[in-house]
Amino acid sequence: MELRIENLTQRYRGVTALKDVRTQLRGGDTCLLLGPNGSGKTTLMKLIAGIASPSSGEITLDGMPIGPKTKARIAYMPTENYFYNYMSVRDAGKYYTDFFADFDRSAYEARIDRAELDPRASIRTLSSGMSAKLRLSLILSRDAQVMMFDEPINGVDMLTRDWVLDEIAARRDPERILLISTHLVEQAERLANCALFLRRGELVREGTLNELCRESSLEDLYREVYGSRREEEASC
Amino acid sequence: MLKLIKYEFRRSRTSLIVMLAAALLLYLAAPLGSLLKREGLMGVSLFGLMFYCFAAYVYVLIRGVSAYSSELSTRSGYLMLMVPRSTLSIVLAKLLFTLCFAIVMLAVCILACIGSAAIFMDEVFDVRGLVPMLKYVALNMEIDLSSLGFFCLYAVVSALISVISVVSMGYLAATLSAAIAARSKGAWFLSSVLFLVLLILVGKVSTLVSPEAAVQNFTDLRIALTAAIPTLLVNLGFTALFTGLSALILKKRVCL
Repeated sequence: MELRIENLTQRYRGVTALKDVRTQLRGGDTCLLLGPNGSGKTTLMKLIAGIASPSSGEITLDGMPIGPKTKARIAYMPTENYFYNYMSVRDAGKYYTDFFADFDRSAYEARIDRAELDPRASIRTLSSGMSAKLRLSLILSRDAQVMMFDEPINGVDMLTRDWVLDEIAARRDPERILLISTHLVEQAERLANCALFLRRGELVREGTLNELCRESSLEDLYREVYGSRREEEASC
Repeated sequence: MLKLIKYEFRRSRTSLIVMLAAALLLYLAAPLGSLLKREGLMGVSLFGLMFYCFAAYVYVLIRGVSAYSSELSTRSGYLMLMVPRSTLSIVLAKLLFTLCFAIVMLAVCILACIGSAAIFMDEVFDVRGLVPMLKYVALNMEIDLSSLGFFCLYAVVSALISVISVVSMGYLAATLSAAIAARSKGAWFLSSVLFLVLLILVGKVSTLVSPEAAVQNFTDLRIALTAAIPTLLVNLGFTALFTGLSALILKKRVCL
């Protein structure tokens, strides 16, 4: 299985969010998508998920361009709430059951029970942490071939963070691609076998963790890649 | 597509219940007025329902467009675009739901108005029954009953086509606006301008197709209404075009 990104550029309202990004991910890859705020991580995930259209370039999954067929195989967890106002926790599960054939309703109900979410609770009334648990429960209850987590461990407590990381780790599969964007590099490092570094919309570094971390840790590499940016700005 | 339509219904459930409740309340004023022998109350019911029909028509239009445009400007649009369905299915489902909503409201309006009118006519003009009431109306309009039926059928079809036609214009305006000025402050203004442009365009083309559509007098009613059929077909054509364009732009150019 292969997710191929070719010459991907995304511009809107005068801003270039992504610039000529080119990479490919294969089944078995658990990739960290790294970069400071505004580097294009979320934009890249949205383009792969099909909820945004690129200005130029192409994304294909096993040769198929992003469309209804790929959306059935791709799961995306955004950072924000994206539900209809009327929806309860249970309604969100029903929605996913209706549209995603790989969604496991009983697994979802078990997860929301474990997360201590009231199925009847209106999603609007959930705190940010509870909302994050809901979004995680939804995506983790899918059996998609590409799973993308946009900052899954931000804004959750330590125990939930461990639960999330364990659940994501359990999703690793030779036939699955996991893409995780996070600022908490040290915590997420144990999950991944590759990393993509975005800076101002450009892919500046990529590779397996074995290759990238030959001489330093991923965290040190992160500082090296983005720390040099700060020095450039300071010197200007 | 049925599942998409189902979720459109779920989103609109509350407003549909409120609208039905309002119609019921207005209707109930008629039998209450009859019971209390108060013509004023019966009149309030009848004329209130006539105003309600107009308000319902406007509400269906506004709701039809705003439900879609709000998804383009809020995160709930992710739900819309994440599902493994084509953008054409998504847009078409919303349009079909709006049509169903319009049919339901139309049925409610017709039934409530007939019910209220029947009570009013019975109490005030001593006309009992639906057919005698329709004959009375036809007589006052100086047309026969079959012409009245034809007119009513035309009015229903025309109203439903106008709903989907206007809503499809709204979809295209909202989609274009989202593609050009996504989430900027001017998006709403741009959307309104584009909508007006489309409205004028369709109006101009419709006039070209059926310039003689205006009713001359009641004796020409059937001829005039038959001459207006091309206008309805033009509206249907534009509906299909705008729906297709909205789906295409949503697929290719919109970024949520």
